[in-house]
Amino acid sequence: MSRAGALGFLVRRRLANRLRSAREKLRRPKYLIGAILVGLYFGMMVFARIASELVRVPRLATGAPPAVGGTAGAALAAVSPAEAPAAVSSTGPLLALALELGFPVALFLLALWAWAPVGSGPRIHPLGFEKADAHLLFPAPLARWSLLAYRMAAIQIPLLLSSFLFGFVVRRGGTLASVAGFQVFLNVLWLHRVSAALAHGVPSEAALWRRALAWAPGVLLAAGFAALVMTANLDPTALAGADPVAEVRRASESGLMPWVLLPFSAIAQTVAARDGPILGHGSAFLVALAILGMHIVWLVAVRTPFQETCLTSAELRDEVRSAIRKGRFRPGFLKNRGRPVRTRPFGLAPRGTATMAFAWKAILAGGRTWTPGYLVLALIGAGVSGRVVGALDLGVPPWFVPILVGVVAAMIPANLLLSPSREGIGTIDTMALLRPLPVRGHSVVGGIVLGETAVGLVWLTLIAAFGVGWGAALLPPGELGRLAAIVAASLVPAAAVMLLATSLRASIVLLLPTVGRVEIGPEAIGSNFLAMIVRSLGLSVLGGPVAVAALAGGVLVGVIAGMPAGWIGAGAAATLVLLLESVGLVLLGGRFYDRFDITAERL
Amino acid sequence: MGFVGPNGAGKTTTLRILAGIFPPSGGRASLGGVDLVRDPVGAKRRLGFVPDTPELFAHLTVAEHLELAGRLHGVEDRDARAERLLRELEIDDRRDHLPDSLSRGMRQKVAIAWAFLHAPDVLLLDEPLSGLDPIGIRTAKAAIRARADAGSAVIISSHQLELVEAMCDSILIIARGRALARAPIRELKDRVREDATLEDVFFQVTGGAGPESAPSEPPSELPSDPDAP
Repeated sequence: MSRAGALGFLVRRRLANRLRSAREKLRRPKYLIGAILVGLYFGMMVFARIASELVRVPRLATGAPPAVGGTAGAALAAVSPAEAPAAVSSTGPLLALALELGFPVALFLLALWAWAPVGSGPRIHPLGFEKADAHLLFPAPLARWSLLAYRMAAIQIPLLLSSFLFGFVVRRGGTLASVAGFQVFLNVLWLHRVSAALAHGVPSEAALWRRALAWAPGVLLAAGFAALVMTANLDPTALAGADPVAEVRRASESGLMPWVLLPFSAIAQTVAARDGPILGHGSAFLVALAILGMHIVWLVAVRTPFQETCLTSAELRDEVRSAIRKGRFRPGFLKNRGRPVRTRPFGLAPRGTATMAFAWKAILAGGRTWTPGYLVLALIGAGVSGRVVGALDLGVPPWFVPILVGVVAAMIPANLLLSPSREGIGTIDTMALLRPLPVRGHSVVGGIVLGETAVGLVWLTLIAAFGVGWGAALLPPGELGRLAAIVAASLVPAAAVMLLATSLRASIVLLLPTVGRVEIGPEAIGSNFLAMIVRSLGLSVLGGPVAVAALAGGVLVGVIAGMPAGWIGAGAAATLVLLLESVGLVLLGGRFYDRFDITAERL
Repeated sequence: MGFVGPNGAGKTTTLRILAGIFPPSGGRASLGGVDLVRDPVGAKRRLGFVPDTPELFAHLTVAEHLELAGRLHGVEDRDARAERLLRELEIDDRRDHLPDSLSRGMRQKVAIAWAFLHAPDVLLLDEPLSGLDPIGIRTAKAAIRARADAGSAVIISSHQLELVEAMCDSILIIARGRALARAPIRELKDRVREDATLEDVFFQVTGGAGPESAPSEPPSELPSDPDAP
């Protein structure tokens, strides 16, 4: 009892001190204005909800729980309150089917994925213990049950905030039933991930019965999946016929599918609850709570190396957070961490003036994603997008748009999403190292801008080379020269797009450095909300000319493809604006750097 | 007892096993005769643990940390003990501070106070003095020494051999997860040569600086530990 009291004390005091910190933050205008804005937003939502209740027009089934098909559905429906509205949808049979069947199937597949004996995804999240928990509580005389109860208690308030967010914001007009549904759903989801993660942690030398018990839920899921596949009774002829939705519905209500999906359907029903009292969807809640209880019992009963897995997970999570913050998180990060860096081609290394050194740094950082696998993906993306856009009649040669769009489309995800997306922030994040160097601010910022643009151009060149290669293989010989000219010309919009992306990112970091900081907590929601508004305004001013330039660059390519020659002037003017803005950005950023307005601490 | 070994020797892992964080992959682990696997809660009642680079709860003040430690171990006079510890470790003026506003050394002292509060029978200290300034080191050394004099079994893992030599009566040297030597420090030094330092003993036993160069078997002329993990 005294230990339960101790953990209660811990949860209580942490919450109280968090609230106190939040209150102190509200003394700063940024947080205060943000909180007022968010308060107004939520207040208006609640007001709108009350107003709609007062003038309520009877609705049919917009919030009805999705029906569970077949006998299992009947089993659930039999204990459902009689006044629960029937599952009739005014949004069309396809959407109705998606709600009824899609969500449970998606949950089922997610569960199956979490229990698959491969991959490292679930390892990052077992129980969400922090390092402090591991360092201070694990060596304390606490049973596994106490630790689990403590974490469950500690996460209820964050989960409740999420539930309110989902219940009131995402599903506008939701009631407490919806919020409660999300609360149960998130708890089940959370415990499920924990269970799956701990099953992965069972040592191979453990006793056979322990391993069997640990993996039993996963085996059940796999058996369910096999049953689904083997008993699926879809008729291909009917699927290709006039009413494929009816065929899918029929198949979903026959065989083992309703029974396999029963627990997932129950969880889905709790989330779908919108109208009626909290326990209005009684049977679904009961089933969902039973599933929640089974997870807890499993976690307590199975003797997996609980603390070790949780500590390892906490350390991994710290690594991932740090990598994300520094812009170094990449696909396969967990798998590849600790491996030696690949040898750089041609002995590339930062050299030259400070600006060029920083540019090199960005290029080399981008090079971490220049893998054959991603290049293949980029080429597939280029081909698909080129085919799609090329099918449209835009009045240009039929091979022009596919190549242009394909090249740019392949370049954008590589640079905006994967390669050096936060390299600039990463550079500024290492201010403590840069400060002692005899380097002026504009050199640093210029290097960031130049480097990020150059990375895009390098990518584009690679893709363009492939494009020319394809063209050489596919086009008649007479068209080859024209193709090469167009691919080369597409470097102009590509550079514009890269400068646009760099400009947007750099302006965020340089003008609103605190935006990049990850802050968690209710008080930070308002601040981030405010920052988003300010950032949007700032970007519309900063990014506008760049966007115009990018568009004009595209038009310039069109000129080469045979459009009116008058567009050349517009393209040149826009490019000039782009260059001026880039220079301005570099000088402005350099001044901020020199005046110590950008510091690692502020980030 | 000092607990030393090259990087990667398994010191932190061993201490984590003894702290009940990692399960032993073989053999037995017990604290004060209580088996950690069979009765983990009973064993941990006797334990005070300071991990390397300890993390504190971000939203708990210094005083609340000690209050929590006292509650977890069912200490009746926890307020008085906490007050004494805060004064002893010279952090009584920071009692209402959150960890964010503390220096690394201060946080280390809070972790030490957390481990000391319930007067445990066994103290496992992983690099307990890292991050402390000279005054802090002197204070913490005195506090650790006092616990040992009061009857607690103290195991100090550290790379600072001078510290180990100054504070410990005996020593356990490990490499690659194997115990190479366990004996009183004086005895080990005498076996190497008359004026040997602990550093000389360390290099003699481990056969070098890194885990790769460490011998897989203990040198025959030095006492080995048959019960070691």
